[in-house]
Amino acid sequence: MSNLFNTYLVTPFFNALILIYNFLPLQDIGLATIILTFIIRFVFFPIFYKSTRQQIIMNRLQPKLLKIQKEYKDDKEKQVKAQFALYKKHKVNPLSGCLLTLIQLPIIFAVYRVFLNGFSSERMADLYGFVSRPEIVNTIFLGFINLSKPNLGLALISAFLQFISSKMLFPSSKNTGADQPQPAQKMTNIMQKQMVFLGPIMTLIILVSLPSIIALYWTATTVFSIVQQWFIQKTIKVGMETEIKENGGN
Amino acid sequence: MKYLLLSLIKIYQFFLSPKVGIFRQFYFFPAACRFEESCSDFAYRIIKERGTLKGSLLAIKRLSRCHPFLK
Repeated sequence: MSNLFNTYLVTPFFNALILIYNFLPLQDIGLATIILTFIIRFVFFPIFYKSTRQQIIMNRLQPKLLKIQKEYKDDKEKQVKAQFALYKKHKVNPLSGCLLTLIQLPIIFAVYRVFLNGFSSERMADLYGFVSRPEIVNTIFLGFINLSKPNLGLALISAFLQFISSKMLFPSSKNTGADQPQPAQKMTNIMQKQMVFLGPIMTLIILVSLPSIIALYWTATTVFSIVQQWFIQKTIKVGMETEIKENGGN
Repeated sequence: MKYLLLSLIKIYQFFLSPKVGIFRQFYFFPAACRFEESCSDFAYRIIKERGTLKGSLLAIKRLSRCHPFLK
């Protein structure tokens, strides 16, 4: 199991990282880390964008779905049919769910593993034939941060970005359109409020003792997610209003 | 047992939850809850209210409904 994980997930990412490193005119594993992170995020960005869009439409359709459920209480077949028609009308492909979220974990863990493993000569044995083996791997980022050792500065930056990202994602006064927050909504809100402060603190605790290349990876990922979030909020919210109106609005 | 389960759910939410957890930005897909209340919030509440056995069953039932064709 752990062999499979290493061969099919960790090693490809490790090779990609070294490949990028070899291509850089300025050999710096920190820059390679940032580039690899951004490439991975860019590859998945279209899916992320589409899913977020569908998520927002689905949320807006929720009252209608409940209505359908009530209307065809005793006829499951008709109920499913009516739901399908509704999805089709709004061009939603309801392919989502929490399990989809969890199958991503091995990939995320594999990338983390690459950075944690480091760049010893034993690791270099994992390189594919077409990836030339660098003589030494320069782990000094920008000439002054040793990425193989913990670094308080980078950990602090990660924690701060975590805070910004939470602030963006969980605005303090939440108005979801419901007249009054239901108890369920209230609990989510409490959790979110706690996470705005506990999240960054925990981030700092985790990162402060790990090789700072992890903190750099964390920082790059969070920066990307903040920009992504900003972009999505800007484009989707506006586009959605017009689309819902065009589709009849009810 | 009940408190063990409840703490496990909290730990999941704190770290792994794609909605609020601190690892959320690493996910490639956004949090995709089709319910107003996320599955883990629901599990926490229902186990607290109905106890370990009944609550867990209801939580599993809810999780299994988290797919395209809700019934």
